[in-house]
Amino acid sequence: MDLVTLNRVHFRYNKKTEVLNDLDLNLRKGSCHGFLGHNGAGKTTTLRIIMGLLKPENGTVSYCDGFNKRNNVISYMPEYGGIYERLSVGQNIVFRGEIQGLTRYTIDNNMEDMLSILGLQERLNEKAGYLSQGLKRRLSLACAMISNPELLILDEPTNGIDPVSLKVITDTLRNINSNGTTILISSHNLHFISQICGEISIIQNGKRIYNSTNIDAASIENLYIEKTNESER
Amino acid sequence: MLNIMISMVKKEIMEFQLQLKTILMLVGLLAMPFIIMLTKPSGSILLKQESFPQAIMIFVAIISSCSLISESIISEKRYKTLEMLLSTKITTTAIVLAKIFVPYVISMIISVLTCVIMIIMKWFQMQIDVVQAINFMLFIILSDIVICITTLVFYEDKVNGYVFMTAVVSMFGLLAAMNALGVSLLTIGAIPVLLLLIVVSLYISGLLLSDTKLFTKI
Repeated sequence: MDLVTLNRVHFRYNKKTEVLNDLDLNLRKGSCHGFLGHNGAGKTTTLRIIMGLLKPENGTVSYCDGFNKRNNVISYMPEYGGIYERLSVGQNIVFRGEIQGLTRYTIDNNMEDMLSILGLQERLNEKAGYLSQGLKRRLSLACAMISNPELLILDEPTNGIDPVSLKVITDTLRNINSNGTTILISSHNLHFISQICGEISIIQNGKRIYNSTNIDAASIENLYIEKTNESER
Repeated sequence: MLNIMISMVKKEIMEFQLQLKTILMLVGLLAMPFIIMLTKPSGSILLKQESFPQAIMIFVAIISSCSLISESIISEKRYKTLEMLLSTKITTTAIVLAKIFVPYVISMIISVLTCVIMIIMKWFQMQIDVVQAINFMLFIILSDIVICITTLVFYEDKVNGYVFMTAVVSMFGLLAAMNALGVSLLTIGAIPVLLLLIVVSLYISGLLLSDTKLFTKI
């Protein structure tokens, strides 16, 4: 069953450059979907369209029944930032939970688990701005996960992080995916994608050029280069 | 929805706390009546001496609300938190109201404090007509609301529009200060002051522009 379906979506910024050109994409419920492509291929724009921040010029975006952002079902972790640097770790998570309409009791319960999984329990009262890049990414993930979303959208979650944080994030994502959360990851880190995703889509010049549920960690890099080169020709 | 709105306002207040920029601005604005008093202004062609207290209060309200709102929005864009906010169930209206509410309250507090300082310094010399005073406060409250909304709308629509508006506001602010100091624009001596005014305005706009380069349109 598809959670989100993009059908022949077109999008241009300021009615000039075409960013998405006839894009098709299906997100299966409970899947972990890797979204690959060069810089400027249209990955972030696609994520924004799925979240409802942008409206496609042409084409349709359809969600399965009862699925909309008013029901806390989508959570987003941006490429960088996404946290309030002047607030503490705890304040960031509480705020994110509160604006998702969660009660303080639920937030406290979820936060305890979240902090221990992501190794942030010692940093609860530390200002987010003073954290290292890796810890900031973990905090951003904790904020995105606090409301137990049905669809978690991650934009370049591995950018600028150390191997320890990478492992923590990989394990956490595997864990929540096995609990039924659908995950959509846009990333250039092919190794990371091959480790956790059950399905990949490659996008080039705003169009999907490849889709597969058969991912081999050893050959993903060659596959990516081959497919993007083929598309260039 | 009210709870979400309250959370948003709480977050805004926490973000404003202990910010060096905010503290410096508050101190600077509160020091203004003292600075102008020390220079013993005599009035100019644009502003009579009796109108100084009102002009200062309006200036303080406008500058503080503009700076607080712009700082608040720039940081949301810079840290990509606006995208995150818009992806949640919080409505755009709630975000806009919280962004207006907190700077508005803070700027009104600063304005009232300025008024208190001026009363202590006997600028009003206790000759204030109560009805006139209430009318004047209402005028400030309304104009500050308009300024808050305009700043937000301009910023949301166009970065350049926002920078232009800030330049205009800062120019008017400096113009008011210059007038308060009794410098007439019709004298030859005013030319270097006018040039300085333009340079400072451009500098302020430049600073803001460098900040807004980080802006990514959603």
